[in-house]
Amino acid sequence: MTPALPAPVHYSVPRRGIDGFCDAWHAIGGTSERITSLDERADPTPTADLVHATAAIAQTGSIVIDSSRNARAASLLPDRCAFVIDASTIVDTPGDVLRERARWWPGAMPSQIVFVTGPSRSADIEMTLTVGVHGPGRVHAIIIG
Amino acid sequence: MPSFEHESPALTNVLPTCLADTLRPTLAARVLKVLARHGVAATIARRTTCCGQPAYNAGYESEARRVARPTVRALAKSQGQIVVPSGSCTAMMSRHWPALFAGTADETRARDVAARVIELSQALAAGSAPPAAGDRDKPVAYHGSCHLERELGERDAPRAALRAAGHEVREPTEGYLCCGFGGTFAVKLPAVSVAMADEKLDSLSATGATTVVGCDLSCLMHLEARARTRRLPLQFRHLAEQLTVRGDE
Amino acid sequence: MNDVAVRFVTRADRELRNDRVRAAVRHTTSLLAANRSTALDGLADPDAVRDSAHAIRRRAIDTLPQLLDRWAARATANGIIVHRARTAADAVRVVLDLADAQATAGHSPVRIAKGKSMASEEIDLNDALEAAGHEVVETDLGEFIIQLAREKPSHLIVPAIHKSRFDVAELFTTDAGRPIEPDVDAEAAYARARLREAFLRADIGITGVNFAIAETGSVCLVENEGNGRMCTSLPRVHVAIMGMERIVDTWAELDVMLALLARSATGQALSVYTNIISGPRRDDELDGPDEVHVIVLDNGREAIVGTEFDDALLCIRCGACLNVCPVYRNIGGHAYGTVYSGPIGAVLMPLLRPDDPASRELSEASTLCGACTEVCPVRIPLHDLLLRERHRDAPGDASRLRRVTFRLWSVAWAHPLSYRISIHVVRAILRLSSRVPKLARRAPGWAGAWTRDRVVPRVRR
Ligand code: SF4
Repeated sequence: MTPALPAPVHYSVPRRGIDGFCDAWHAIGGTSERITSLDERADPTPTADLVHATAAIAQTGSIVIDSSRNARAASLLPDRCAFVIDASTIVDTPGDVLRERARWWPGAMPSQIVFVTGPSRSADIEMTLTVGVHGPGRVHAIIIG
Repeated sequence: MPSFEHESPALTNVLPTCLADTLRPTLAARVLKVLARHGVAATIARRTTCCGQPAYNAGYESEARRVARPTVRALAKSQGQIVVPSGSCTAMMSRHWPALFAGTADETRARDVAARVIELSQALAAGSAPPAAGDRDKPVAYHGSCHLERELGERDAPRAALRAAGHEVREPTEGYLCCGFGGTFAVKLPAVSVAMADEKLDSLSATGATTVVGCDLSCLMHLEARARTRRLPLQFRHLAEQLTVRGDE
Repeated sequence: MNDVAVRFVTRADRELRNDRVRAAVRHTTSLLAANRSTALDGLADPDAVRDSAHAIRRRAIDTLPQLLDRWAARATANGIIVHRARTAADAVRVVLDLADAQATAGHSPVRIAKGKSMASEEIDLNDALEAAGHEVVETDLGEFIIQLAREKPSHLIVPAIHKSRFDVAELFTTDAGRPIEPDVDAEAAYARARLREAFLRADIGITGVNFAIAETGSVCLVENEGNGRMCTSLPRVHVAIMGMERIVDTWAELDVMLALLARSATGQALSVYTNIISGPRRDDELDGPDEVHVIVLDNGREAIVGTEFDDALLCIRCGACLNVCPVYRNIGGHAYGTVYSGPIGAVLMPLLRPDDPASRELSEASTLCGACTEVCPVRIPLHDLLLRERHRDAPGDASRLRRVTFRLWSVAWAHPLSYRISIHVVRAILRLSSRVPKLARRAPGWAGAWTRDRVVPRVRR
């Protein structure tokens, strides 16, 4: 028995496309740049590992990465991290990834998928926000195309 | 017994509530006055006791049933709306009586009454009200009692009634927070109860209004008892009292 | 801290006297409650999403055995080792055995890095691991603080809600053996460096689970710091402990749950890291654990399924009910004396431990104001459940005096005439006693409990 799919989630202020993604990503503390090809990158940040995104989500400013394309440690251990996003993989909502699993992972599931939504943060002490507690405190999105 | 308690099944009935019977013996008469101003002819229900809430909320169902039974039976004889000047009693009767009396001889009566009870401010919302005499234009702080706001979902009617009477209605910050009464909670966990009252009194005082109006005597009694201990310059009035104030008291 | 012999009222009074803690808890919960309300406005129709979430969770509980079997079959096919634990002791045994296996393999003492997991608190895992000679480090910043203070978390989401940055500086200074400034960034930097070492050396990573997803045999884990990712990525062995009820069927359902979880908890649209784990490292992957174990914990849950109380199992541990609870905000989490506190703790503990009087009495930790019910993202009727628990327990539990009081009262008010008479008597007593306030304040029992800090209610025309 397959239960009916729950209705999609709608948002008060829908964010769409590259601009929507950048708005959301900046709002949570990320930085970004747009280029047409990776070769064009004049100053590839040397200390930042490049992590290849599977998808990105405009509504929440999330970058979807998985363990089949990247070492898990690459987006976790450094102080800063740069994600490479193909503009054609930017979708509107988390549902566009979660409800379309086969589109993104047609074969076997990677052992780990992570939706990265901003820099590592904590507000555990006095509700004061501090970034880079364990994961990268600076996160950069490189959007190609 | 006062002479206005006469039998007339066609009228709207008012259940005074046990707390009003004890602490505000004239509240029911004031309710009649307010209703009359709204064009509602009402009478005070006779031979009623309490809705059973104190025992029910403390966990004693059979005791609650025993106390509420005369009230169910008396009200079942009436027709039309039953107006109750208390959010929590209204919620007890409309939400919990059907379950409390399920499987007993009074089940049908309880269901019938539950369908007809309405809280005072809700009854006022139906009609149109000329402003009250008394201290109009004065700001009042409104305390939205938990069961009125959340069990009955009634937020607008009491505020509208106060505004219609010419009052500026002020809201305490985090107004949803409970005053700390909670029936036997107030005496089982007295220190917590008082801490809650203090937080509520602080936010009520901060509104700058000196009159606090609410629709549940239980909250008002609790807040007043604590406010007087702290010697705060606040007075507490039930909606029916505030709408029937004569001149500046 | 878990002094069950002491009654709840005593613990509550004690916590209440700590003004600093009360101020901190009020401040934090007010902020979180406001954040939640703003964040829910980000959904076009939050009520509809909550209805949908309720239906999803309700169906999960109604079909729990089948759903768990389906999940377990897929998870096993993915290479996850599934353990079912009926009791806390069973779950602890599984972890101890896994640790022993590491010790036998030559990693002694076994080093364990832990992410935040309420289920592990529920089974007192740390104590058992330490008693067996293993090294356990809590790696969530708040949990790390709590571990150094040798306390229990006092909030579902903000475990160290009761600690100020000055308290933290003191704890960190002792731990470091050098002064750490009472500055949040400096403290976070110390924790980062200190715990980084723990991650890199850990043999086992232990985490909780937010949702198991039956469709793919996965588990989903959300967090903000990255410590959860560390625990699930760096050690050779990852052990996840989940309450057996924390399951959804499909990824589409997960979409709905995730839309509510972070919004209700902290006011974020999504937590920083939403991890979906579907197995150990695959051969073609660069890193990740060699073994993934998931412990499915019953510990009193299955007995609740199918009862009038089983809505309590819909809970997704967002903490929203704690943040609006007027009782919790005044006494904090430790007063409850149990692993879960606030409204959901007061509901859950009498169900998980029906034979423990100290857990049962928590249903009284509420005025039934309903603020919790109003914010619960999965629409658990929390205050109705508290009321039903009182109906279940009070007749057998309460002191004889209390029972007799209610019995006498109900007899007096069972007839309109005796009701009238008793009203007049009460009124006379109130009038009289308000004239002798000093005497009234010393009244015994419930009367004195009222009058100690409140005047006698005034009778007024
Ligand atoms: S009971 Fe509801 S509000 Fe409370 S923690 Fe659980 S899901 Fe959140």
